[in-house]
Amino acid sequence: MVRSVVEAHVTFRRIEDERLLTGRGRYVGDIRLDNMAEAVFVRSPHAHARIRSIEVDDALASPGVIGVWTFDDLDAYFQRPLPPWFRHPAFRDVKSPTPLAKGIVRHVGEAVAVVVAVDRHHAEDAAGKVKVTYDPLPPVVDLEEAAAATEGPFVHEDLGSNVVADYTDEVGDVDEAMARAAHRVKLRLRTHRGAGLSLEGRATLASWDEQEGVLTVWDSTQGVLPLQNSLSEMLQLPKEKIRVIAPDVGGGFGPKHMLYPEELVIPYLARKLGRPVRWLEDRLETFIASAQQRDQEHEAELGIDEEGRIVAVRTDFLWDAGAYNPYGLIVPIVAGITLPGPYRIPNYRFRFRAVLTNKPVVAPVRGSGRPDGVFVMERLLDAMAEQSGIDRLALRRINLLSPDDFPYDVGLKQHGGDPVVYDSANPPALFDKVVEMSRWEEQQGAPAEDARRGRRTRRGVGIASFVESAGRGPAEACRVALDRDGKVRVLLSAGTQGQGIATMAALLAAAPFDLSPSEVHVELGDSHLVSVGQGTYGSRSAVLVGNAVSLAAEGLRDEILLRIARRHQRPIESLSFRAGEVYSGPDYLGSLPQLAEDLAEEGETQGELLLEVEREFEPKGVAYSSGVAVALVEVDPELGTVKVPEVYMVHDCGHVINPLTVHGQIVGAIAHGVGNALFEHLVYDDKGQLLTGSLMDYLVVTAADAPRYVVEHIGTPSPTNPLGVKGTAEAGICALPAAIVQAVEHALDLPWGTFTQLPLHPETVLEALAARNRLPGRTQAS
Amino acid sequence: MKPAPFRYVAAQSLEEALALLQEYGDEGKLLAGGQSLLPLLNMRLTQPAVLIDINPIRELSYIRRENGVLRVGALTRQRELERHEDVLRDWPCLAAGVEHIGYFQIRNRGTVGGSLAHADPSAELAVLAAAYEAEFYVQSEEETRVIPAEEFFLTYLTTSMMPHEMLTEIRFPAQPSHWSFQELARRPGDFALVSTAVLFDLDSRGNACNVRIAVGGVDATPVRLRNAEASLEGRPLDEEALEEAARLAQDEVEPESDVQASAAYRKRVVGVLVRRALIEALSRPQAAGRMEE
Repeated sequence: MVRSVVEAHVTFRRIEDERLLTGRGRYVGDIRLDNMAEAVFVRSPHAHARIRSIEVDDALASPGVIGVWTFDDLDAYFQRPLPPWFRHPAFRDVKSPTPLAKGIVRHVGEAVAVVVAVDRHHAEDAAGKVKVTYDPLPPVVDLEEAAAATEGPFVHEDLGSNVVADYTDEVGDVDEAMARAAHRVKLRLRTHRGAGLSLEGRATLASWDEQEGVLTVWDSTQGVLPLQNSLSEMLQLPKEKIRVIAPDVGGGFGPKHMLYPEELVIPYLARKLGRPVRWLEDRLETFIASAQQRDQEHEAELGIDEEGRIVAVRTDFLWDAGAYNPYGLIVPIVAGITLPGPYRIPNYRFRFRAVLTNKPVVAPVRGSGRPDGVFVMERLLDAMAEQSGIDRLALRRINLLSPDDFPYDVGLKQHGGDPVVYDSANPPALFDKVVEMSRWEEQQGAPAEDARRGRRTRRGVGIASFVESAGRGPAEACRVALDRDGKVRVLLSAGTQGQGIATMAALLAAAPFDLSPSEVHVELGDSHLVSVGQGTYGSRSAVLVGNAVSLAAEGLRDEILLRIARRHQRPIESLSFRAGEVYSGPDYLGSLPQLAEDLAEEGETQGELLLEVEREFEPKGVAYSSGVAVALVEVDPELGTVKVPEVYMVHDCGHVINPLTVHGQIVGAIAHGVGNALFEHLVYDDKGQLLTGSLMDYLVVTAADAPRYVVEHIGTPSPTNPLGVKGTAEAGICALPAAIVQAVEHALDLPWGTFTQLPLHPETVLEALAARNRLPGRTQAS
Repeated sequence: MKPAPFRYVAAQSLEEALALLQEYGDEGKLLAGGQSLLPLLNMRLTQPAVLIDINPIRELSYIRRENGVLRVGALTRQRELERHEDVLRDWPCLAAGVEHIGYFQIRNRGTVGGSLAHADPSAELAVLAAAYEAEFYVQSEEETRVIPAEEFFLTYLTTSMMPHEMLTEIRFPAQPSHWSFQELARRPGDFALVSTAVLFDLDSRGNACNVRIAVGGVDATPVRLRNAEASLEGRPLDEEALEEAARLAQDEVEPESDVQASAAYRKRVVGVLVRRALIEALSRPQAAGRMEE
């Protein structure tokens, strides 16, 4: 019955929206507890320095101050590195930050002290009076220099190197195959560091109940249970004495799934002070103290045979991990395993070195290496189209996997060691559909010109494909219950940061009872509701949470029908729900509120929930989404500026649970992809100082730059889960940068594969145009 | 991001505001629309002892036409200027340029005087004031003086006003018949990498006269491109003239590099925008009326 919901393709408006859009959201910043104090962190202005001394007397004497703490002031049990979030066996060593810097700071923004005062204003006044004396150390900034350093400088002196992992994965025999390729192209490609911005910054509020010995933490997090675990470990409290609540969360995008010093320091202080303490990250802090993304430098090569079939691909890349490596090797491994995409690549190898630098830690941010992998693959194909003379579409079509190939074993390993096996897809259908939708053929030939008052813009199109892991374990659990009012309730630990998980859960839980989703009550983002789960990240919730909800709801329906069958002495097979009421054929047997009343009378339970079913779900393997995007660009050849007026995308996320939510996810990520391609760039100087540390200089795509979107679906149901669904939150971003740079090359009649860096700056466009106009045999484009 | 402590005083009249400025001098800072000041306060980049709020002084908010001159009260909101009927008809370049300031929410709060007194060299109003050869009426308790646009902006965020003086009115003379405002920013609403306001008349033989080309974002103040202007004066604006003006414009500026654009790119953009502005201005019918009152 639930399956029929996902097959119905009926759109529901998000149940979250009315409250959020009318200003009734409740974020950590909206919560005020009695006697609540506020904290501000004193942060390092240096990328790399030894702390000589910290004087706090003036700060302590500042009005309204409750206390000031440095590393030395912390209790011995708390003076240790944060538990690493993800480990990987390929690491030589794992360096995790301490709650406050111990002796050395390793990036601008690292917290060295914390000031607690009666309010934020007083805390900031006092923070300015904490005097920290630093002895600057040579900063490690440039990625290549950092990797090559043998005599220092090192981010962590004891490692004797900045390289913390050297990882290789290979399928086939790449070197042998490359040697016999008919055509080979080599590219050096660079994707630059970016931020992971949410509308709401990070935020933590903690309250300690001395009588009960219970700690309650409200946190703007993507994972309440992992945070509960870490708090338990660091604060030496049993898990059941810690409750972590994610209230409304204003965006996550990955960085909020990570663990940060502030999330531990604030609860530590709340317990110490016996009063609630809150910290709200401001935008300036986001840029220097939240996890960041990307920074990869690839040396990549592609070989094809005479017919254009790929014989081998290899890439050797550096990945800038930042100052510590507590978040595992997810980003570079995801980049490496995403690179092959929907293409048949019999021989492929990726090798990378994870390199520490004096910059904030790098973690998964929407895409998590996928756009980088796709960029490398698609750039190689473009450069090959240029060299071999094979049309860029034809070269791709020749190499697409066919529907018969699935399940398809790529021959690589996930970051967890499990194999990369595509569950289902139909790449040629996606490809053909997007080519048709975008009127690709009409866009060919001489790039179109649009002349207006002294300005000529040129139009071009670009295409790129991807396959992405979108639904991977470990398990999520869900409880579905009938309460005393006869309402169906869904209880989840996984929270929502804009993905519409409450809507999805309501939709799936309503189906077995034939209720309207608005009649189902969803509670989520609370460690007290369910004890199994990792949270919301990696495009996993449709698969993990969706199936858990659906199984638990069906379980509850069966429990209820069993009771009604007994009471009315009818065979259970004859019973069914219609609009929340139970019928046996035409005979009405009762409603959910009536049943609740009966159950309450029977006194089976004294609690608020009369009947409940809990289910866990973990997919068999990994669900892989796929898609192909076409970007249409308008380039001003005199200024080098690029606009993206239209994006077409055909996507396969299996069955679509709620078309409106899926559409929202995809267009949001497409806009994000436009930003990645053209704007988002964290620029550091050679001292490791961030030059783009505010929204004035770090450019995020706005509505004015967002394209018109045309999105279609061709779903191949995933065999990994009963609902046949796959994730969708990162799909839109994967192909966009690759498609956009290719479209600019088309617009300006540049050699395919010209652009090798992201983001694409107007000056780079002009330089490429100038270089092209110096080539013989090319017509002037500007 | 909370401001350092300050004293707040709301001035109810111009006299009171001037008296407060006299009293506090360097320590005092005027609060008008707050669109630049509040971020600076919140980031603690400026920490004035006293904030003198002039928003209650209604008498400083007006747009008046007088003898062919547009008189704009310093507290007039940018959005009012942008949408004012007289401005749209007879000072259309002013309206077009103001439209590029940030977003409409910013223009709803931001004031004309506030932006000019802030003296950001990439601010649209500063460029427009330079092109129009606007006059700045500046008052203190002792006197009122008039500062020509050319002398008003000294360098980044610095004007020739004294700490106890206040900008009360800006006067824009009649606009030449042909005009264009061009701007390039990384995204719509961002600070301009380069902006330019171009104004000129055509004489009876179709030659350019009264040519003014002002550019922002390329120096510590908005600049007039005198060489480019002179090259066009008394000449028909044919293709050759446009090319020459664009080249001179580009050579005349000495921008600096920053994280968004190199000096070389900005120079190139100046040439492209000046050329486009001249073409656009020429392509317009005699839109701006010659104001004969």
